[in-house]
Amino acid sequence: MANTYTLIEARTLSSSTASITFSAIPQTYTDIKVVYSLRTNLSGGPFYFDDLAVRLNGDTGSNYSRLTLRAREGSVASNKTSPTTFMDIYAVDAANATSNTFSNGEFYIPNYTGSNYKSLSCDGASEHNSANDVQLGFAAGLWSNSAAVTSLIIYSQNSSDFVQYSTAYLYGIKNS
Amino acid sequence: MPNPTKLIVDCSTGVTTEVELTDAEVAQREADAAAYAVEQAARDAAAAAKAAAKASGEAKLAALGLTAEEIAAL
Repeated sequence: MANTYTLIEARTLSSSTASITFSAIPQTYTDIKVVYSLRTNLSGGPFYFDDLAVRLNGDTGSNYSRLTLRAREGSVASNKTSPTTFMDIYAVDAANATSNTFSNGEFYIPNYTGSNYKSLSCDGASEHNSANDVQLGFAAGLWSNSAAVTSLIIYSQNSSDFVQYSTAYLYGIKNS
Repeated sequence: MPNPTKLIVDCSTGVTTEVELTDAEVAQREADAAAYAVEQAARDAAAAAKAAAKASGEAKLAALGLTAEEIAAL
């Protein structure tokens, strides 16, 4: 159980960028948590929201298992996938979302320095002013790697860019 | 045209750098997007098939005389 929360790093984008990476994550906490408020420039269709992903330690191999529950465009779907090359996380507004809105979400990685496979849990919601054209989601994942987590990258699965004023905060949590 | 950039926050120093993606990273990005499109199409197809099966099943139940409320209660 978390007893302390320490803000390790916080960043607000001053311009568009393809991804946000936290590197050289200190190994002195019990758990880590990332809280984000994001929007991408995905356009060219009815894109009110985009799809986010995270990778750990730069691993692009098929080592991420995930179970997701998400609502999008008024329908709800659950999905369990075979191991893939990234972890789903939620959510992110896209170019057609209400102007100046940013999604909100967070994911938590307990025991990130341990020698077992790493679990991740996430929840998030887009902030478009619509009853249906929004994305809400929960995700649980497992990274099949026993290495300590030293870096993580957040990016768009559609290869769009995060826009200016998107933010990401990395917290370290100790159990004592 | 320059490649997109990435933001890297070094938590040991607090230094943030914004650097252009390498050609290999751009290629990885394009591969990721292509893989995502395939997966999304599969998800959409599965959802459409499930919806069609549900509608077909409900129609058959209705033909047997079940009311909409009874079908919904199943």
